[in-house]
Amino acid sequence: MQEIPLITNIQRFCLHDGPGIRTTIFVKGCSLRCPWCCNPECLNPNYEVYFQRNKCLLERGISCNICCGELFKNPQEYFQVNNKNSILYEFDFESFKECCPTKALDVCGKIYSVEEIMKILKKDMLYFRNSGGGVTFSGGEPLLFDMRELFIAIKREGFNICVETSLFVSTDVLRDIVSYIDVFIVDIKILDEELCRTVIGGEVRQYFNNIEFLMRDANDKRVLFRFPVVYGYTYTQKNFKLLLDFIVTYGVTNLEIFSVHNLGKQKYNSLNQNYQDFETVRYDDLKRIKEEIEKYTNVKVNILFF
Amino acid sequence: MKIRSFVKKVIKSFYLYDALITINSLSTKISNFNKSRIKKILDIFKLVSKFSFIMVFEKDELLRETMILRKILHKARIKNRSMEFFYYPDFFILPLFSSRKKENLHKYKIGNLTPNYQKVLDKGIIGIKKEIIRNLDIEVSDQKRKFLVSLLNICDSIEVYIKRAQKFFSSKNPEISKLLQKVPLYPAETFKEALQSILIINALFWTAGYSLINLGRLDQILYKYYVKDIQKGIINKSIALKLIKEFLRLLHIDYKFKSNVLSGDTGQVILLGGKGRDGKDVSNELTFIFMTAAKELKLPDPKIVLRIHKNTPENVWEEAFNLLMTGLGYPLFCNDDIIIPSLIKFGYDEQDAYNYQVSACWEPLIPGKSLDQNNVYNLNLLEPLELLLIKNKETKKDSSLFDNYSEKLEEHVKEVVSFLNKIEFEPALLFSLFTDNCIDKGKDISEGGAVYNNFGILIVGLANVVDSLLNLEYLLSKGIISNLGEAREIIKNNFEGYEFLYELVRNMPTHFGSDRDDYALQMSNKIISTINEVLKTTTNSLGGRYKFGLSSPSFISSGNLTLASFDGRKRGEPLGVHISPIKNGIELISLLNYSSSLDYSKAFNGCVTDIILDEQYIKLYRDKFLSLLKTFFEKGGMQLQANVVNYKVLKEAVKDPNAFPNLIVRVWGFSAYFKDLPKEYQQLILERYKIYAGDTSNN
Repeated sequence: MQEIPLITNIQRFCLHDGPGIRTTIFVKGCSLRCPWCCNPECLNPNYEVYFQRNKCLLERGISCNICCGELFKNPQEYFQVNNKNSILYEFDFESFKECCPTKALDVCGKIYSVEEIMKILKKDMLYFRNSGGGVTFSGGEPLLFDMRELFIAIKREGFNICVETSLFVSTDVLRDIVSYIDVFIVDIKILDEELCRTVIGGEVRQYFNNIEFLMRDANDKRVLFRFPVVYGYTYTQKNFKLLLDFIVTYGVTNLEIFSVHNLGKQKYNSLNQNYQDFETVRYDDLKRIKEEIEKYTNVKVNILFF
Repeated sequence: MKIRSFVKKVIKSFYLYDALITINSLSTKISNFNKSRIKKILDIFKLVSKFSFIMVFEKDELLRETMILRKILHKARIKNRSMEFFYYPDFFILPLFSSRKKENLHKYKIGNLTPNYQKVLDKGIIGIKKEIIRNLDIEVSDQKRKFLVSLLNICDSIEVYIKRAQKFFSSKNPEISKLLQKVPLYPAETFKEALQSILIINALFWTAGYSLINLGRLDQILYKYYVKDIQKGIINKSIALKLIKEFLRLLHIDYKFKSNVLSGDTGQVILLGGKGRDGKDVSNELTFIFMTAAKELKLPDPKIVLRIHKNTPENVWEEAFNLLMTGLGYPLFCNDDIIIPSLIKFGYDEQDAYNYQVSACWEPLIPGKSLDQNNVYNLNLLEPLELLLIKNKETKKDSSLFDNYSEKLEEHVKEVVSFLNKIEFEPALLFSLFTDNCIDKGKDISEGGAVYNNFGILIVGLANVVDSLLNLEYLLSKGIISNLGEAREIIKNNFEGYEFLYELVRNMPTHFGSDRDDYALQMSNKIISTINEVLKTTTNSLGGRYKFGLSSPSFISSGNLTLASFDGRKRGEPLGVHISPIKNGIELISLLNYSSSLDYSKAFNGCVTDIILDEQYIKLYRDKFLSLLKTFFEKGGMQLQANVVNYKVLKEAVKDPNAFPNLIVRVWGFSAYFKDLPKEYQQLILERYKIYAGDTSNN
């Protein structure tokens, strides 16, 4: 397990990520590489340079000599990350972040101390309490990092904790933190061993072990399952059958399904990464899939809008 | 016939309605009159529909007022224009086609008030007349006598008018005729009589040319009649709903005529719910019936304001939230736990404070007892900053920018007050008749006859000034701007030639509305304190005091007249809307926390947090939003209103407003049909939607 992760965003009043009013903490770093991922800035655990060309003043013909006009040609070239705490550049990244007037050029990822995070969380204390909400860890894969200190601090305030995890982590890690977590939100992605390894880079055995641990050994925990519908990847004849088996085997009672979206496209461009377009699933099709799943199993399916 | 003689003939006609008929009838006789010209003239008359052609040559103001009202009531048509187009079998209201011309441009016309409907229902016009006569019996000065006799005269005129109406309906609609035998001349006894009485009194004010006439706490006023009728079996819940719906529709039909600045700005506000002096909630079945009626009618006007507090029952919240979700832009929520203590602290009697309602938009008002002109001035906070930069070349070097600003602000508020102290009001006998203490004091409301005589100032541009000051401080400290002289050049030139700086400022983090920015919050509260310090020691010309609030309808009109500012605003662009972020990057919950930390014990003359929510999310996560709203008030928020919009519809509607004739939005203190609004207001709602939607790409 790595130390405290970098955080890309702390988003308050998040609607989709668990019960009640929640603040979601997006951590940087993931063990998987799902082609449809909409948070590409959360994959690499290190600092990354984020460049939004359309925001650059030079691109719009306004003279700006902050980065001497050089960076904008190929910004990533100018930065070499040697370890996660420093960036090789003539000035440190904190002041560099302040320099770009339009934040066209930005550094993705920030270190927060436990106190800093708690200060932000506490602002919404009453909202959490009144709505039965709390804190959600998302990402990235939050379970890649040892955040027990933060979990303890959060629990001390009485907020509930929810993690959005792929569960592609070792069961020992899960065992260490399970007592702090109130709700697990778990994706059901690709369940075929071979495809899982080649497409998203995960060992599906590990996933099943963890599922078994959560559903059998720690069955007091609330687990919410989600199924991202991606044509050609998760929604294939073969995978769909595996999904139905999975639901039956583990006695899943609630399932949320949603379509992948293309909102992350700009982020891929800004990070200078290749983006693969996915066909979004229309609402009518989601409804049909919902009916299909409900026909073969006893699960109750909700359609999520994203 | 020549145009001139034609127009002369038109002007001779006594009422606009007659004028229109005259034009129509004459135009058919004139062959060489082309239709477009006739249409043009008709349009002009429609445009001036606020003015009528009643001329009374009398120098004494009181007498003149009396004579005008007399003339209106003796001559006004009985036949209801609406009766020709609609079928409203149960009630009668005065046709609103003739109103008075503003006689004296130098004097301020009283409006934006709630008459004491309760008193009319309890006593009737005849009862009020008796009260006047009783006061006349005691030895009174000539001045008082003149005033009281004028009031008597008006009571008589109302009586004449009602009798005429009654006669008119005796054959056409005996039911209404029977109602008119009773109300408003005598006390109301049934639910229906009470509604009819309120309709007539309300319409009297519109007919007499007053504007922004409020309706008050109708669920409280009407409840005893409702209960009595239910017990007697005269009505049941569904009949009550039907009557209320008709009541609301009748108030709505002339909404264009009643509108003040923009279409829909009528001031017809119905207050519901609230906290009693025992701390218990006072909402009743009528509270629900009114909300249900509004939800089913889907009209922008009249609109509902709901008083809430920590003991507001769950079912009231539920019903109110359902109404909000329809996207009508109301109810506006008022937090009794904040407002009532502020009112008491300011000096209102405790019992009155518990009975507060609001002026046309949101300013707390004691109904039936106040002259309180709650929106007498819009104070633009960027103005003192402009003065500081433009006029004053020298600022005190040893004090901070903010101290310099505060000093200028103080001066500015003092100037405004001394200007406001010169205001004189036109006599308003009709208000005097229905406002407590005027009869006892023998004094017209315009001269301080009412119990309360306070003035209210509306603040605009708080968000802009806080962000401007903080950005300027930053730019000066970093040496990006060398001195205030350079700042002056920049705003004078509207950022032209300073494109880089403009982008820099525009992209700086927003301060106002961010609960992570303690300094911005402190600054906001300091500005509130500064204004309060000046106002709390000042009295107005009628012996009342000044109060102020943080919401103003002038965000566009004041913005038009304001130079560029360092919050990233160019010349003429709108100012911030009430309490809301002016740029991207403020989370909704952060805004609510910021707002609930503002000092409402000092600024309470309307402090609305104005938010825009997406219909899709609010439907999907209803309970989360309701919890958000309730917690906001628990934390000390004062007032809140929300536009619930569908982004796709809104975007299309901006392109082609007429394709969405039923789309309703909240504007400032009122809701309106989107298509009726000026382009800049339509556009602003879309822009503000985007600010609230923010950057959602991370989720």
